[in-house]
Parts: sequence; C-alpha cells; structure tokens
Amino acid sequence: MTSLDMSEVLAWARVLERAGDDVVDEGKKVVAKGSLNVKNEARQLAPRGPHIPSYASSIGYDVTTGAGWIEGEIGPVKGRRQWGLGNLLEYGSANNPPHPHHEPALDHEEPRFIAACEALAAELVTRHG
Amino acid sequence: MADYGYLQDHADAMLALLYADPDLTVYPPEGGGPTTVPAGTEPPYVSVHFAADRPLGGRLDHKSTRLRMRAYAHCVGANDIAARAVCDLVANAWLDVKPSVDGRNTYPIRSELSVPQANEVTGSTTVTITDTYRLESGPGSDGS
Repeated sequence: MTSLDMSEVLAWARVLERAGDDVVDEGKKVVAKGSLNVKNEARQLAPRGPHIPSYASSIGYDVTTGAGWIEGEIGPVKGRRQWGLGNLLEYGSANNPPHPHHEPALDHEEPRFIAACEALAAELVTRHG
Repeated sequence: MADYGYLQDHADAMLALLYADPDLTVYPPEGGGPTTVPAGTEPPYVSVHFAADRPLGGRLDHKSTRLRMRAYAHCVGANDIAARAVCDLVANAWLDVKPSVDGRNTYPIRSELSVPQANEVTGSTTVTITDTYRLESGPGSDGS
C-alpha cells in the first residue's frame, strides 16, 4: 500500500489562502498607484491649445473593488469641462489625426504595474508563510 | 521608390494591405499624400492615421529597438451597417497578418479597440467607427 504525505502541500495551500484574503485590500493600493501614474502622464501628454484649455484637467481616475476583483478606470470624468472631447482627441476622426495620450500612458505604466503586482504577491506569501 | 525611413515603411506596409482590397476606398490614397478626405466624398471609405512610439526592445543592451505603430482606422459608412461592413473589410486585411518591412522583424497586427464615434453634427449623413490596431516590430527580418 502506498501512502502520500500531503502535509506540506496543505500547509502551502493555507499560505496561499491567507495571502488571498489580503490581496484585495493590498492590491487596491497597487491599482490606485498605477491609475494615478497613468492619469498624471495622460494629463501631461494630452493636447493643449486655446480651444481646449480645460480638457487635460478633466482626466481623472477611480478605483473600485468587489469580491475578488479590483478595477482602476482612467479617463475624462463626465461633467468636468471639455470631458466629452476625450474620444475625439484620443482617436481622431476621418479628417483629424489622433493625439494619443491615454494609451501611451498605459503602455509606459504596464511594466511598472506588473512588477508591483509581482512584488505584492511575493510580500503576501512571505507574510503568511 | 523614395526612402522615407522605416516609420513610413511600416505605414506603407499596413496601407498596402488595405489597397489590396478592391472593395475598400482608402485615405490616404495609393501614391501618398496627406490623410485628408476630399470634401463631398461619399461613404463608404476608411481614413487611416498612424501614431508610433519606440519603446525598449527588451534586450540586454537596453536599446530602444522596438517600434510600436498604432493605426487608427476611421471606418465611415452611410449608416451603422455600412460602417460596420467597412470595419470588417479592414479587419480582414489586417488582423493577425504579419506585414513585410525591409530590415524589420514584424509581429502580427493586433486589434486593440473599436470606438463608435458620436457624430453630433446636425444633419450628418455618415457614421464613423474608429478601430485601433497595433503593429510592432524589432530589428532584423529573419526573426533574429
């Protein structure tokens, strides 16, 4: 008869479970920081001119969480002055070239965000290990 | 053919894929020129703009060898159905295709986003959907 000692596997599973319990609270900080960075760079890159004096400052972000998920949303905030120009400015139109400012900001943040998520995962596992 | 540098080579490679479809009217038209749709042009057509950046290549020498070209295809139709049909033609020409660019190793063209554009001009008779695609490339044409 063969026996299998699962004690270490089960102990590791408990570590992951406890780390998972903390991940939304701790991960929210990571997502908030990433969203803030994207917002700041999108504002810097946003087109400016006499006809769009308020557009850049309409860009904001918010972070929401639920059971097992965290979401950061960055973009012009509805109701702020000139927020409705975001679509046209970012993507252009048939006769107007685009002025990409959200997508490049997101591209630049991506490696930093992934590194921060990896660091958080390592920290939570270490904390509960 | 004049050499306008590899940024233009990438744009040419993507535009050539659109020009190859006889059902598509493309701006800028074959032969070059600015992306301006002549006044009075009847839809359907697609107007294409490009924006590029040059991120790090991910190699040990930390050279910015990568090129990331975003193509903004403004698919214009007389109504929603026609605009979507133009989007389909563009997708057929571009999606997952590896265009050939001299001296560059290209990756398959990917779709990023599709954005219906609000048209609030009174009496407007066209519908525009803007589809964003991404073409990336690195140095070398042999995958090195």
